[in-house]
Amino acid sequence: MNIYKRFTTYLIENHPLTWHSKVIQLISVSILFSIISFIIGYNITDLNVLKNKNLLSYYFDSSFIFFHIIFCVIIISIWAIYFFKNNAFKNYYPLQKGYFTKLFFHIFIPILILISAYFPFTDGCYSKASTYFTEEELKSEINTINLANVFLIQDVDRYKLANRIYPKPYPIDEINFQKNENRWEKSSYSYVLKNNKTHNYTTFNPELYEEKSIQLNGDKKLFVSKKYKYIDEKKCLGKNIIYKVYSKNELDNPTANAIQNFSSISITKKSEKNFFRFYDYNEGNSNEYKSNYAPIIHNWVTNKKYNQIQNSIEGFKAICKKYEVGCNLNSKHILRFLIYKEFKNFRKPITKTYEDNYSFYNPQDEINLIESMLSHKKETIRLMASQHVYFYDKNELESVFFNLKNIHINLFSDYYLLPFLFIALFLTWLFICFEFTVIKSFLISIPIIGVLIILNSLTLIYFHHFGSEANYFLIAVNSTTLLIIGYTLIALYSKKVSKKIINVLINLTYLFSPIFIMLLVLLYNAETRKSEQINRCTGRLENVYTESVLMHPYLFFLYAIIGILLFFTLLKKWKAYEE
Amino acid sequence: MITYKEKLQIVTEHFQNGDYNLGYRKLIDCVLDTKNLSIYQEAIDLTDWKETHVPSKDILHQKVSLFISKLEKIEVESDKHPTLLEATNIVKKYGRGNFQLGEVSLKVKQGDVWGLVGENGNGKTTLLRILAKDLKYDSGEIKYSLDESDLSEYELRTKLTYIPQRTPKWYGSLKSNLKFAASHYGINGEENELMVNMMIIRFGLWSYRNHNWDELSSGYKMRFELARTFLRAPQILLLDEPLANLDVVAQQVILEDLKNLSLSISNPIGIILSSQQLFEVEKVSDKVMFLKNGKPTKLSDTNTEEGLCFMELDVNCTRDELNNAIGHKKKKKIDYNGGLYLITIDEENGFNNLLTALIKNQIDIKYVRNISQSTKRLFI
Repeated sequence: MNIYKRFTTYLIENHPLTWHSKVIQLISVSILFSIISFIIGYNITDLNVLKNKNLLSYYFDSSFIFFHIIFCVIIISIWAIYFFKNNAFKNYYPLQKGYFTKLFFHIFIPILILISAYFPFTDGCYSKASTYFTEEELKSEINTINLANVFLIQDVDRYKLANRIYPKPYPIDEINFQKNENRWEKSSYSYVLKNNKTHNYTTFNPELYEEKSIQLNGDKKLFVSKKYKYIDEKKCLGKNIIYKVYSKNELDNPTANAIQNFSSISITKKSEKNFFRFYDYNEGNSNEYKSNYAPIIHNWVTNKKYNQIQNSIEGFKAICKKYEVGCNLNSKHILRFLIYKEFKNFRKPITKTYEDNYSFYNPQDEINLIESMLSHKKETIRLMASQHVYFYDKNELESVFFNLKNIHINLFSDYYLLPFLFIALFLTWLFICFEFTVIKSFLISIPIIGVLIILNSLTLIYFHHFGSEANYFLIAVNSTTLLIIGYTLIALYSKKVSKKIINVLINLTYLFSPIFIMLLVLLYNAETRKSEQINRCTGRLENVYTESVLMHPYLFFLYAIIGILLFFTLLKKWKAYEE
Repeated sequence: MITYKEKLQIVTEHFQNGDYNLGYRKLIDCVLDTKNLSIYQEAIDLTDWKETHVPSKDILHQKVSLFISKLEKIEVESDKHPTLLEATNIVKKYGRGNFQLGEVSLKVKQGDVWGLVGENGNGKTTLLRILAKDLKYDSGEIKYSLDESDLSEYELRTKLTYIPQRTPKWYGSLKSNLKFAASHYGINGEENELMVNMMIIRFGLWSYRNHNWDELSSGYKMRFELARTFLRAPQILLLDEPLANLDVVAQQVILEDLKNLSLSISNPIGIILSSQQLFEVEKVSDKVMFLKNGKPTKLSDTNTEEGLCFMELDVNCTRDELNNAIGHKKKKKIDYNGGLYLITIDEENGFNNLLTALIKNQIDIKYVRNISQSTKRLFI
């Protein structure tokens, strides 16, 4: 205690602003709380959390957020009691240069640290998550999952052929071959053939390639290399350009080696551009999967390396066991299906998607539960529950690996900090207000602001009613703001206005100070932008939209600070204003 | 102007005459004049010892004498005494009503104590606020000749220390507030502690240094304000009714302190104070301004004949008995306001003769005062 007293005595004697703002104490408490948040995040993260929560938003789902809010309220209240005890400005003490700017940051920084416990908490969660594996292990596990994934059936509703692993050459796509002459002539038909000599596109007629068609699982199919390309981006018109149609001879025994993959969980490997970026491997969109894993799988199947397949499934089971993910797989049975196509032995799967309890030890309980939830699937489920089923909990496994992979990518989006910055800015703005304002005039300025808001809203409604596309609302708000700020400046320098009016004006100016630059930028942007339409097909900007660089969200935060800091330059003049 | 050596001599005399409290306060003034931090520390140690041990007067006298002998060896140069403030023909009109202050002119030099007196609502506070640059005026001119030139408006306000009648509440301990103020005025580090302690001692707040606002009486709150003000090393001090809510003793102490501090050798200041305590203010003020209906009024402005003597009297007798005692020749006029008699007599009969006549007639006198030269006459 003596040390603390000596410390505060030193501050009051040598750094009165630091003593007054209690910045060191507040930062210390904030940092301490951040450490506690980290520890809490670390300790409450377990496999169950990994399986069921997104760690990036776990802070908002957990009860920790309530604890944090209560803690912030208590700490800020205690701090405010001490902060408002002394006031150099109201006592006309000499103020050091940039007094209010320094005071602003003395309040802003610790409050920002205090309210941003989300980051250390989430960091704690990820630190704990990272204890479950090394980076090499994660790579290896992803590899195992991707290789085994193709051999697993996991979803009764997703019996699609879209993710089929076809034989080489890779990557390759299929087209259903159907005889329908009219169809080829329609302009809506999306397949075109590229003529290598003329570089023009001609209508692709599959019937011309009937000799290349292959009978697969009861359907006739053509195997092609194709690429989707937008021909008219404005109209969102695209075509599948066929570069080559493969004959049966050019393919590596497609009938025998076509392996069905009903997965949607495939996880990308490390690549240069996208290190562990997650996306669903679905609808055959993953070229990476086709390029990296398909050849290996094809090699196993072609060369009958059944041990490798079985090992990959066992590896998958081991991963499920490690992360305590529900998993009931029999690699031998699966192999029998692959080798002998013993559909009869391979029972229909079930996933956790359809129920929460996958312990099937009591079939009747399971039947009752599922029946109550999914009466329309009663017969299917009854069959599933009464038989030995194969499944793994796709959702849990996805959740685990989504969380684990996030450790190795940039955890926090560029904009995650922004709301915390603005909350800290608002609180600082509020506290600084009471550092200089006269309460009476502050209270008077509130209804005036209300009236101004109503007037501006009426302006908006008026022009909207007449269908005007001009930015009259922005113009009205800007005019109001600039009028108030302008009148405040004129009044301050003319010295002919009553102090009571100046007091109200200075409060109004302070209320507008964080937004007046923003409003100007918004108006400037609204008046100068050409187009902001994004082509929904391509995702590209059309008409080269020229949104001003001034519109960056972090710049808006900067505008608010600059506005407030500019306002501070008026304070001494206002304070010295005679009644 | 009194010199440092003379001030020390006065301190010695006070101690010799047994006026320990007064002597000690003046001793602290001399210590402050030295601007010597080691001397400050010795004074603080001495005070701490005095407050802790409650020594006998002889021992205290002995210690103080030793300390004075040490102070005598220090050379203290006195500053010049220039004009600090010159207000010329100040006029302030209020929109509502017909009240107008002024024209008022006054010149305040270092070491001057100005008393502003007048009935309520005659513009004393208005004038003080105008001089403190807290209130605008309509015409006239005010020139401030402070140490630093080219001061911004806010910086000028930091130099013009104005203590309003109702001082605002402050929070935290008395000492922390003083340290905070001193620190803002560039008194840092060890000097901060010493200066704050010196002011605490000077204004008799040593036992109250850790008290907060709620724990202090009105008198001590005013002392705190003065301590805080003097830490700011003011050049001009403007006080609005500093004696309000103070007991008689506290009023005298505060006024005496103000007078002594205005005569500081190292930092003489100009003081303007308003008060209803007419006699007390007149006692310490070099100049007194009486404001009537917003205008400064002199004694010569009253519609009275010259060569008269004015006497304020409270006696335990009837009016007839008083009339008889004074005698018809001496008396010019007797007024009674329900509490006091105001007796106007020829100057040649004089105050002493009148007093003799009252004693001879065995009139029981409770209070008597010659107000011939006092602005009290202007209240009547």
